[in-house]
Amino acid sequence: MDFTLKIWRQAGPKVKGKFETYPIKGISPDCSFLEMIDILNESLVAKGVEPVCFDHDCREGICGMCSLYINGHPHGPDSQITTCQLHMRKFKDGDTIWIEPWRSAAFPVIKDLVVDRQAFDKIVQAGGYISATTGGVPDANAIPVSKKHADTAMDAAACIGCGACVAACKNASAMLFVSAKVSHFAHLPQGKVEAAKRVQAMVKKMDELGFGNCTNTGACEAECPKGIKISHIAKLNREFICAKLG
Amino acid sequence: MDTLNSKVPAGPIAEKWTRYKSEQHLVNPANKRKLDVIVVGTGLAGASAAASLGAMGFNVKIFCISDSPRRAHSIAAQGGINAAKNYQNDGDSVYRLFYDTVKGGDYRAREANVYRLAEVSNAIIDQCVAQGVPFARDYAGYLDNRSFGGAQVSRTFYARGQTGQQLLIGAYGALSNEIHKGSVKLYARREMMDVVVKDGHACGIVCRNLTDGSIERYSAHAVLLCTGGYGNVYFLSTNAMNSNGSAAWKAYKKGACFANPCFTQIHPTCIPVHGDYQSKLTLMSESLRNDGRIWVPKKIEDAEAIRAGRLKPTDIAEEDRDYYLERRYPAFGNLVPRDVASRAAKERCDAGYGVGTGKAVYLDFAEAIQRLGRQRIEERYGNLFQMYQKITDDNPYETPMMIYPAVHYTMGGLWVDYELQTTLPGLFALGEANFSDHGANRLGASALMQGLSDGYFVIPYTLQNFLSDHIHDGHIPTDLPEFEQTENAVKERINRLFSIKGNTSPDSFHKQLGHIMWEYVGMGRTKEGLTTAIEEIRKLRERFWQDVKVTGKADEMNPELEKALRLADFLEMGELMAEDALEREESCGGHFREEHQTPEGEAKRDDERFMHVAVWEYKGEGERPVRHQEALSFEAIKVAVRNYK
Amino acid sequence: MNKCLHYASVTKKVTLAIIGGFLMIFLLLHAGINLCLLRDDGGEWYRAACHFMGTNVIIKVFEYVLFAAFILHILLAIVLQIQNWRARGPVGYKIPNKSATRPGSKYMIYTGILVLIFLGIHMMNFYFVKKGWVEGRYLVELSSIDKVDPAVLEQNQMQIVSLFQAQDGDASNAYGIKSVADDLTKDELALFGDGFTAYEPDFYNMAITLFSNTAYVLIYLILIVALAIHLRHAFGSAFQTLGWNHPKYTPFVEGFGLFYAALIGVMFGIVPIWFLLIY
Repeated sequence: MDFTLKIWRQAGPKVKGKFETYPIKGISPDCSFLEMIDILNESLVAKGVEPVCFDHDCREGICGMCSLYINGHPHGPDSQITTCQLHMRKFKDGDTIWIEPWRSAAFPVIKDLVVDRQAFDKIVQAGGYISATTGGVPDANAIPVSKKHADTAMDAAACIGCGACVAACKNASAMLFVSAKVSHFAHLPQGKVEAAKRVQAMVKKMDELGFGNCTNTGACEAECPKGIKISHIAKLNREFICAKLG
Repeated sequence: MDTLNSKVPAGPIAEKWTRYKSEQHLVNPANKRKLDVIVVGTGLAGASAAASLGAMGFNVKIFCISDSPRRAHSIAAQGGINAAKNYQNDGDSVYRLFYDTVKGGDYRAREANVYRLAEVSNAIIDQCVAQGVPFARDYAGYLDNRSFGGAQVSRTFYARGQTGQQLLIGAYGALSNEIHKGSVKLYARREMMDVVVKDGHACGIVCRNLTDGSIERYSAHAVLLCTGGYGNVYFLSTNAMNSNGSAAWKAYKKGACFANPCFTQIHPTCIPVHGDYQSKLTLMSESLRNDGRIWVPKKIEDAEAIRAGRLKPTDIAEEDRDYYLERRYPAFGNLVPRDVASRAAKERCDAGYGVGTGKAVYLDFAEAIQRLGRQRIEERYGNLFQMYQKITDDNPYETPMMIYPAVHYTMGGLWVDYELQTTLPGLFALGEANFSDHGANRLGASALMQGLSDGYFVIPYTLQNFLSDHIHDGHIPTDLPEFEQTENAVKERINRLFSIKGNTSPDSFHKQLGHIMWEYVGMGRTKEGLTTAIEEIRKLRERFWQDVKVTGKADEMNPELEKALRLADFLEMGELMAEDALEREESCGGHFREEHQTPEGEAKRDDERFMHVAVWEYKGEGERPVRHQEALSFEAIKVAVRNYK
Repeated sequence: MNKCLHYASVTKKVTLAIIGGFLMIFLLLHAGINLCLLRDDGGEWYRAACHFMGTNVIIKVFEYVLFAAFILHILLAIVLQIQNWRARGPVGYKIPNKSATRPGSKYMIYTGILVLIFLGIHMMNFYFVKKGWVEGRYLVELSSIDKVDPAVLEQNQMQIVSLFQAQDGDASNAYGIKSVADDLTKDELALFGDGFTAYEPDFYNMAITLFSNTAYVLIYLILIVALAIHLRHAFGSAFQTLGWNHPKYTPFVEGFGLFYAALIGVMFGIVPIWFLLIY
């Protein structure tokens, strides 16, 4: 298959970037999207051009490192996958493919398609955990957790922190990410102890970092590679209201 | 180095760890604040160690190669984590977990370490549940278990197919809590370039800031390497793209001995290779073998017809299928350990019964779907099936999956004593980066257990014992000549790579290395093959230093430079692996020397000559490393031939 | 305003949602009153409703609550929107986002602005008349006639009587006198004297006049469609923001939201269409 790639190139955080056009030929439909960029990069190296920088690591959809905004979709046009799991068979021969970095004030571009997502870490550091220090905890089966709640907690905990929700949201809001963490813990008895403090601290940090506000458009849910539902955002809102009133 | 002292405490095996803990030295809280600890790597071992040490009061600096600690490759572990909880009342115990792990490792692990691992396994589960890890539960709200290879009990705790992710996020949460409190400082997008050694002690690291290319120095009273394995030496493996062996390799070159480098785990259930553009292999969790049955056609003509596309797997009648694992190993069936399952797959494919490209076998769920219903299968493996379908475009609910073995884990690593300290004082290795617990083959769901055991429950004790001697050292400045020299050497190496200005990209060298390694140092190894490998690797290394092309500059984000730096180390590591494999003239666990097998094709150990850990000491550039031995003795367990029949 | 920026994002949104909910109830009431226009009674019901709304004490208090609600809703929406635009960062996307979203949800600020424009026109046409800031049409009830200064009444008797004289089709008593003098201009109202305050704005005739203007009706309809789109998202969104999302009930809420938006659209929209067809 042949494609025309339009890729955002930006030499550094403070430099102005622009789109470059790269034609690429003879790509197998079974090739993954990132492998296609690998092939492009190899050809660029051969020509002595600096290859395109992009974040990637596990290449099996779990580390959350890959982050491309492809033809108007974070992680490309397929549903519930990350960019590394996207395969070229999802495109038509001869397609023009626009590749952009995540765009958010809280995720500044480092180089080309690589953005800095440490804002997510900062939100988690504000309270996205249960403060159980090592040792001194009860037996794992001491507190039963209903299967329903454990499953819902797991649904939320499946978040890989890739930032596709922010990239997709017209407001660059991080609410799906934050709510996944809040909801994960709020559904577990172990997490309820710090629930009120957690939700307020995380929302405060999220606001400080310059993420936008949630307007319930649902774009995040549509693009989340792990299928995390906006019902968790409702759960966050509920937790937040209870925390403020309580 | 004079002697290897494993520092295993005296006494009966079940009391060693308790005795160690009661006799070790402690550091009082006021002194803890004066002690700096560097942790390299943020996977299960690194994150849990940093969180625990930070909570204890040490000054911790943690270094992360990715943008966030949560990206570490522990996240990709799917199946589960073992613990001897015996919640299923099926006869499990600490001893049995210990026994299974030693046996699974083909009696090449250090007994005392494995026992300790089994002993703390239960506390890991307690800790993780307290952190909010959403393990699978039954309808009464209690924890659920599944079975893994090499065990006859159900002791594996799991969180769907994302156990590694959930455990890592638990540890990452604990780490984030400490970062918030200020006891741990996080350095993201940093790659360790070298260990700094002063007066024979590790006293810091030099690392490269991957964002802007600057070289930075950090000092500490102890350095913990939690940097994972070196499986990417094979180019194609289930490891993440950033996983590399450089940190361990640099430590080796600075005086830490490397143990059993040839012990590599080839995982039986991976999605087969399908093109030369492929960048990595994807693992399908071992848990699939709970319900999936592995087979190839019984008749060679059927196999040929399938390869040619004339027949579909569903066309093959039940009696014409060869469920070779069930046939060869009736007691364990599809749940034999990984090394056994991998070799059996290779044997069938080599004999011409492979499907797909010829290098694949079927993993079939038809029977399980019929027995349990599609919904139950979906609940258990839904995300794995979805992942498989996305990659291959085949629907595993309708047609059997195709799988083939792939490099997955390295049991070998930096040699450590009972305290997890390497032969370089002050340098510790945790998790996959060390060699200690898995012998020649790791059982499924044990890697997570080991990483967390080392980080949460072992290093907090043993490091304290070590640091208790350093409370008067005071802060170590980073302007010492040792830092200066190390930094200069790093810069020189980078400049040397840029100055070559060759024609070949790092990736294409890496592919060639991977090809040599897989061909000769893979699942079946021979004396000739290994000798060839050593020669080929040397030649390739020479060409690399003459012809590699590194684009870009040193003082910017430059993935090509990162690749070249890591590859330079892989090119040396591969040789040591082949060397070690050549020296170990026996078959054990994942190390299979074709010269040493039983008439039925099973691995044949040589306990007389090789019941030891091979410990390699670096002797300088161009010098042959020295092979030391740490003899293994088994007091609590009877050494026997591994039998899964 | 500055303080407003310091409230947590969720607090602002929850406030926005609660106010939105209140406004949605108000809209239903307003649309109900509008429907009275359709009754062929010469405006009897409509006037009764307007009279009630204009004179009831509780309603008068609520009027201020309503204004406060509108202003807060608009201000909060603008503050949030500015933050949202800034959150995208210095460089936007080249390819606009194509993610699947809830209908109307991406255009809330735009539909909101249209509704705001509508609100402005509406205030000019009706509310400002009531306040006396803008000239409109007025009505005087026959029963209020004794409140007119007797001297003035004597002086303008003929003209005032003629105002109450029924035309063809008007409901009247045996003497051909209507119970209400309607569609009065400011000049005609002056006949009742300077001190006379017992008059009301004649919303009925003003509405009919406006709705007989085709251009006005078209603009009105466009703006009503914008309102309906705004409400389509607003209804479910308010529930979501208040944390009410449940696998069992949310589909019903969503369905009801669609029904509500359509209902409001139809209730408001049918009146001008009716008049356009009739006149």
